[in-house]
Amino acid sequence: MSLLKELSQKLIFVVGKGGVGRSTVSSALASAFAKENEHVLVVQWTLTDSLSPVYGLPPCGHQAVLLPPQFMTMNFSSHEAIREYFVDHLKMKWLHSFLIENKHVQKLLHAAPGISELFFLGRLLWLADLTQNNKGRCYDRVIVDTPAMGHGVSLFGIAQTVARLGITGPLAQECERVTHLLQNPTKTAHVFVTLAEELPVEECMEFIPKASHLLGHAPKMVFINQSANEHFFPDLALLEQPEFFRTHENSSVFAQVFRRNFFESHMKAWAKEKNIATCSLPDVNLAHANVSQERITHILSEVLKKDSFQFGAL
Amino acid sequence: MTKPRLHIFLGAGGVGKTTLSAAFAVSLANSGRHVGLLSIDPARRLQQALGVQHLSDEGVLIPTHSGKGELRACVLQAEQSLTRWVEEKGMDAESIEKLFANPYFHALSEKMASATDVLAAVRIAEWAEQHSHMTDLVIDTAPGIHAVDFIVKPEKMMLFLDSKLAEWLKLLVVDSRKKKQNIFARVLKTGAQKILEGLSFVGGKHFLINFGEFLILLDEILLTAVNRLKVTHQWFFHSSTRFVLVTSVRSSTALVAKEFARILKSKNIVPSLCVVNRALNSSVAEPQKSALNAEKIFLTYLANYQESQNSTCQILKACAQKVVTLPVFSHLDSQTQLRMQDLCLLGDHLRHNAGDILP
Repeated sequence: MSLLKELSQKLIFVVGKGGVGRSTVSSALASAFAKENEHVLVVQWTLTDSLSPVYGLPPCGHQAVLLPPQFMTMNFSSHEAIREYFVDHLKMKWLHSFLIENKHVQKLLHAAPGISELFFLGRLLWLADLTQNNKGRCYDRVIVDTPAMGHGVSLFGIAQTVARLGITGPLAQECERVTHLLQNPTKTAHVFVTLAEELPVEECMEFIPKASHLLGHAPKMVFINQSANEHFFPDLALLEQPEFFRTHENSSVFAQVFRRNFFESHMKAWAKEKNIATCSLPDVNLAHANVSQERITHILSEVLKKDSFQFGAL
Repeated sequence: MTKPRLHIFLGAGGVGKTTLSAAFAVSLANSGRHVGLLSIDPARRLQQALGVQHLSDEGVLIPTHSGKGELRACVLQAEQSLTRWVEEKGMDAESIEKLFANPYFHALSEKMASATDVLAAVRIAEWAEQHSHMTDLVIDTAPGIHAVDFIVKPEKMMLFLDSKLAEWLKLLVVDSRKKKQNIFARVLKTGAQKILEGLSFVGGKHFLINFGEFLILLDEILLTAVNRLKVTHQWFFHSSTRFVLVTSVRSSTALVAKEFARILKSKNIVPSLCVVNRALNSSVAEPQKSALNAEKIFLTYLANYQESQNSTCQILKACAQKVVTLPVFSHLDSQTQLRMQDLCLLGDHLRHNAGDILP
């Protein structure tokens, strides 16, 4: 069965340590779902949108734009989301102009921790669950390129935390709905991404239990990105680091690649014990010269669609 | 009193900021300086790099192998910092109990990763007060977007704590304690009443009173915090302060560095240095004809690596005074445990390449 079928949830959080390829995996998943004719959105929350430039387009903002692989993407802005919440969702434009735009309240919103996180989740709720009723259009799939590990995982607990601050009224309802959505395993899934390296693997093992505890369900998948395993690269499996690799001036770069198999097995064994599925994604840089990020995303989306994948003869 | 030099490491996640800042601190200490190392990375894995099992919020003295200098490292933990600040003020037992029961205090100290970024700025000034003989303070920041909070939040926090709304919220609590009928009406002017009514419509009265209570209980602590924030904020602009942008060879990490540079420049700060971590030693020759498939695979890989490194350096040229590369140190991420000497070697290398930029 294809991997995509395993992910039936509408809202998918892609979680992982910084630099492991969360954006790449998010867009590969989005491309793959888009090829099945789904209407897909990738939500980023980052300094600058990193997906549009892959396709030669300028970085996007809070408004969703269509990318060539036929999925949409946006870069969350809490300022915009707060406006949308009051104006579009609560239908209280007056409250927004009188209260939220008040300079004293603005100072509070800028200073208080947790506000942006709460409105981020609120926006996801709106995109994944509510748009249908309100505007007649709806995404089949919302993929969240979640902020790096510590902050990303703390996001899962923020609605419950805010709910305990003694709030009532619309904000309390919002927190409750967000918590419901996140904890519903038929609607929400989280997947982890890691590299087959020491620190990312260890962080995965530390944060998977935390995330599972906050969400009340286990991750659907751990993606092991930039794999050099023998399945993808049979030629590398035969080697015990011969002369060429040891004497080369960049042998330390090669040694890093060779070590990946060890950490990949380590991650897989740990996940198996916890009954969590894993999926290795090949390091395309080992297979093709002059490979662009666009091409990497495309190849990975092909890998995701198949049961097994092997690079053709080099 | 002369302030220690502040070295702030910024960058996308996974580029090696934590290891590099630790290595830099170790190298400085080893050459005889008195160094503080502060990590606000919520993943808290600095101890691993330093080979110390329990780094606390207070800081742990780490022996240098040259026997000269001093290295004191700490990992910021919001709960420990907040508790210490409360105890410092000598609050009475009843207030402390009330404070610890306040849901805001609880949320701040345990649940919000983003609160840590703000507290870090307070911690920097506190650290300088505590260790006045220190010559250098090295700061490892949270990855990506959250490090921006660390730069811009101190200012925003100060604005709020000095603001009218903070005053109104406190008045609200004072009034609610008197159990008057209309708690908004008593001490507040009409404009303030309207705003508080609006806020209580969104989140409820109870929420506002909890928050006001939190502000009152923490009044003295917040005052100290604001003063420390001001010290840190000014310190950011001091001529001896160095902002170091770290990237890997991937151009996406260079784009993050570029964005940091833009934000800093908007505050009239020019980053001192860009470090391209885990770069190739020298430029790679054209892929040769090779008998082994595996060799071909690696030569392809190297060519891609080089290409990526070149475009990264190109982007970084405009971001800082100087761009330097650091090679892959294979013993830094081997399966065996990381050693102090390896860290020092990396730090020495960084300082050597940076030259006058990191004196």
